[in-house]
Amino acid sequence: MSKKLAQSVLEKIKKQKLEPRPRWHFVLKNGAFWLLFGLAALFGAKAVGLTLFAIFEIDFSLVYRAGVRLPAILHMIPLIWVIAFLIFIIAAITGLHHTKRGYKFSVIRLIFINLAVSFVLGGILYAAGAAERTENFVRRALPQYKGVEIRRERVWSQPQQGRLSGVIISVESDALLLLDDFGGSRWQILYAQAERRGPLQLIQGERVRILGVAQLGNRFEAEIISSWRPPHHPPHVMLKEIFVPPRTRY
Amino acid sequence: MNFERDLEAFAYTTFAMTAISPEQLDDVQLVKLALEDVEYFEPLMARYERQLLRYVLRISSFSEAEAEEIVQEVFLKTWKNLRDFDGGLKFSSWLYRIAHNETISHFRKHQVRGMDRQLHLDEDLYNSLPSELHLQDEIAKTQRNAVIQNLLQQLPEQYCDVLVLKFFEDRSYEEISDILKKPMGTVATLINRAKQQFKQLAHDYKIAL
Repeated sequence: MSKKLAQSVLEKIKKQKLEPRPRWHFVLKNGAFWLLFGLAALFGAKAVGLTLFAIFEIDFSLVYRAGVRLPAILHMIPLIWVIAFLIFIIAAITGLHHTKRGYKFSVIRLIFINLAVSFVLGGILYAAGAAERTENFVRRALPQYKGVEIRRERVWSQPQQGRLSGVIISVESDALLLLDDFGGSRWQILYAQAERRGPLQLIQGERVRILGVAQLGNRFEAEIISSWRPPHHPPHVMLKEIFVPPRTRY
Repeated sequence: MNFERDLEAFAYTTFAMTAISPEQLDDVQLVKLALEDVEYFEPLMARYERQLLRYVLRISSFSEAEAEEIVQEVFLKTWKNLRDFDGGLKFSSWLYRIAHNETISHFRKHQVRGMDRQLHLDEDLYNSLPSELHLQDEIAKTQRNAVIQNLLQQLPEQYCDVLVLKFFEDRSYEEISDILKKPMGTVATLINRAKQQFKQLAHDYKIAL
């Protein structure tokens, strides 16, 4: 029986002139999965970079002081990048799992490896400014995309809640400046007593955020006046700002 | 140029045919030779066909004729994919993997696995599991056979697979990992759970182990 089976297979191979598939076929297949992993990890890292950009642009210490609640804070992060990250991480895991020795890794380890790759690369991309450039590119390419800037403008364009932002039109004195908000309305800002924050220059054309009290006649008494872009702190300070809100909120 | 090629071919043939017989060559050497000359694929098949037939029968409810058909398909697939074998794992593990996948695919086509799974229990199988699981010696052999067969039939397929590979095919954890394409930790967990479930079943049926 034994000889018969081996012989019959051999005969079939010879009769049908069956040839082993060429090596490139397998190299290509394995390479395709590595490529899937590589691309998915790269795009996942991009998505992480963009999410980090969105998070660190929030300026937590100021929004906490402004009394912005968590749902509104979360709304400042474009969900599309979080979803994109999750999709790419699944694609990367699938790619790595289907490589020749991918099965040796447990799912947990695969997730950990992919998360680590995405966060390290994403952190580098964010630090190198690539995330911001991508954000700007996507905003230009997709007009319907509600990016980080638009979300921040919304949060900082609520004068009745004490949050105002816009472009300085002129600095009238040490106590008064004129500002156009992002909706086009002109405001008189009283800032003599205001705490200044971030890389602030107080010059014409500068974009600023102001925390204070709206008064009648489009006047706004500033208590904190800050640069539009948040001050850049080292990562550990940023993380502390996120997870340890100040005790006295505005 | 032709002379050199002829000389090389002659040297190769002499080495292959007179210096060493196929039985003396290991699997990897035979694979390399088979890629040059299909005749060397036959001793490779002959080396594993009994094992593979037994394995397919152990994890399936197929008849011997069907198992032979599966093994034949396994060898054909092995031949077609021979250049995919890179020596990073044992050739036997690679063959068992193909056999396992082919059996599963045959199951799916015929929708029989788990419905009326009948384990093919030969002498090796009868003797190996009781010793591993410390089945009492005093239980009569025929009784043991029926007991083991009955218990294994009731285990989930993945548990049956690892028990068969570990205790009946005598495969290491690493080999089982390569065959089933699961991480070693998962294999160890599956084996432990399979043993526990086997013992639990034995306990439920009031069978002393």
